[in-house]
Amino acid sequence: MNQISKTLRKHALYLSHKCRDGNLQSVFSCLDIVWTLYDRIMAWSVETAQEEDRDFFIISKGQATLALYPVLIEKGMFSLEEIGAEIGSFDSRYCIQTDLTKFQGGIENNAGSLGHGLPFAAGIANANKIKGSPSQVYVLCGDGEFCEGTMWETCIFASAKKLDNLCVIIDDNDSVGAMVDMGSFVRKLEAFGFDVSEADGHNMEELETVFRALRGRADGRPKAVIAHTVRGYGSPTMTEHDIWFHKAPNAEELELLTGEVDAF
Amino acid sequence: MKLRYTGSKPEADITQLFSPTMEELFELDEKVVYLDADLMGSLKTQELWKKHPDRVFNCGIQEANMVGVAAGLFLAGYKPYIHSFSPFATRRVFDQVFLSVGYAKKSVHLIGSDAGIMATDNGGTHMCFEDLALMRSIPGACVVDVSDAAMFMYLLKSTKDREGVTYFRTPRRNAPDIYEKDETFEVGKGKVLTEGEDLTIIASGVMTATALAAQRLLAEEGISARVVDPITVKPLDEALVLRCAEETGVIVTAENHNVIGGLGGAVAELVSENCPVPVLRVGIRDQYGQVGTEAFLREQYGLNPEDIVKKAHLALEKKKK
Repeated sequence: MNQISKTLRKHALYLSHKCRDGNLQSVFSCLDIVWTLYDRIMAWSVETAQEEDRDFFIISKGQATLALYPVLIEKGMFSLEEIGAEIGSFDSRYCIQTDLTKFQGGIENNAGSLGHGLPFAAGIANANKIKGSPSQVYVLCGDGEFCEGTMWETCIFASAKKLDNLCVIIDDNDSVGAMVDMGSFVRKLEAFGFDVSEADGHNMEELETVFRALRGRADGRPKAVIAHTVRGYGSPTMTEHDIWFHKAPNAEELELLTGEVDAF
Repeated sequence: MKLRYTGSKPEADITQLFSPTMEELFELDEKVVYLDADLMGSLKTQELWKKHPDRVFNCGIQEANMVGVAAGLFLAGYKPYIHSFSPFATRRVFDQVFLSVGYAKKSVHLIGSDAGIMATDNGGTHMCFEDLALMRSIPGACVVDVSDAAMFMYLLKSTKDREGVTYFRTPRRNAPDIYEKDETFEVGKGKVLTEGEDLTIIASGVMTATALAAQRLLAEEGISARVVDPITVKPLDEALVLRCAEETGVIVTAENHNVIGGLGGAVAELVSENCPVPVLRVGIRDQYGQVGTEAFLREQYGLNPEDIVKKAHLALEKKKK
C-alpha cells in the first residue's frame, strides 16, 4: 500500500480512537477513492472551497465520514491536531457523521440518514446544468445504501435530466450481500441510463484513469463508477472481524492496527 | 377589518391563480424554480412548464428525491418551490424535509395541496390530518394553513427569501374569499377578523370561513365572538392569542386537521403556560379520512358552523364556572 494510503488510515484510526466511535471498516474501504478524487480529479482546493464553480464531493454513505477528515487534513483544510483535540467532546464540530451546519466550506453535506446524499447531489448537478456551470458533482454511496428507495428515484431523475455532470461512486465492499441479493449494479445502472465503469477501489492509478475518462464526457448520461473494495482494507484484523463495522480502537488496539497498516 | 367574505364561491379558484403567481415570482427573482412530482395538472402548471422549461421541473412520482433535489438546488443558489398533495409533501418525505432541508439549513418552500377534507373523493390515503403536526415539529419551520386565495398568493411572494422550511397547506378549489385583494399579510402576525368580547374563535385554513359563518349565528343569539385567523400556525402570533385569552376568557379553535398537534394544540400549549383559560378544539377527533364530498365530510367530522356554535356554548358554560 502506498504511503498516502497508510497516512490516511492512521489518521482515521487516531481520530476514531480519540472520539471513541467510528465505522472503520467502511472508512478503510473508501479512503483511496476519496483521496484520488480530491488529489487527482476534482477542481477543488482549500482556497476555492467556497467558490460557486468548484467541484462537489458529497458523502452519501455518512458512516464513512472518518474517511473525509483525513483527506481534508492532508489537503490542508483542517489539521490533525485540531480535530484530534476537539472530536469526541460534546460540542465538537467534528463527529462520525458529517455536519455541514458547523462549517464554512470543506464539508458539503450532512450525513446520517442514508439515501439523502444522492438526491442532494442530483439537485446540485441539475442547478449546474441550468447555470451552465462546469462544476462536476461526485457522490460517494455505499452498496448497502442502494437498498434505500430514494437512490433509485434519483437514478430515474438523473438519467431523465441528462445529468452527465453527476458521477455516482458505489463503494462496493459487499455490505449488501449480508442483507439481500442485489444482483448486478452494472446491469441495473445501465438499465437506468447510466454510463457505468468499474475499477479496483484500492488502486489509485486505475481509479484516476476511470475518473479522467468519464470527466467531461458530455453525452447526456450520468456517470457511475462501481469501485470494488474490501471492508477494512489495510488492516487484516479489521477485514477479518466484522466487529470493526462499528467499533473504536482503545490504546492497545490503536497500536496493533497502526502496526498492521504500516506493514500492509 | 374590512372583509370580502360572503360565504359564496370564490371569484377565482386557487388553481387559476397559482400559476400566474409563480410566473410573477419568476419575473421578480431569476433564482426561483418550481418542482412538481407529476401533479402539474392539479395546480395547473403545465403551461408554465412549457413556457419555462429551465425553471419548472416535473420530477416524476418521486417526492423524496424531489425534496433532496430541491435542497441541492438551494445550495447552488436557487429558491425552490415544490408541490405535491399534502400527505406526499409532508408525511411521505418527512425524513427528507427534516434532515436534507431543515437540519441542513436549506431553504425550501413546500406546497401541500388538498389538505384534510379538501382531498374529498381521493379518500383516506390522501386525506392528511397530520401535516400541521409534522411540520410544526421541524425547528424554525413556518407553517401556513391557507384560508383563501388572496392570503396564499401574497405569502407565496412575500416569503420568497425566508430561510428554512416554509410549508403551505392549501385547498385548490371552493375556498370562499375572505380577504380584500389588496390585503397584506405577515408571518407570525394574526388577524382579528371580527371584534368580540364573549369568546375568541381562532380558526385556520378552510375553517376560517366556517368560523365567520359561526360568528354570525352566535351574533343572532346575542353572543359576541371574536374571530381570529393566525395566518401562520407557526410561528403563532403569541401576543395576539394571549391578549384574546385575557380579554375574552375562553377560546375555541377550529381546524381541518387532527385536534392533536395542529392549531388547537399550538394554542393550548401557549395558553396553558401563560394565561390558562379553557381552550376547546373543533377538528378531527383522532380519526382517519374517508371518501366524500366536502359537505359530507364536514358533517362526518363536525366541521360545520353549527359545530363551532355548539362548542362556543360549551365554552361559555366553562367560562361561567
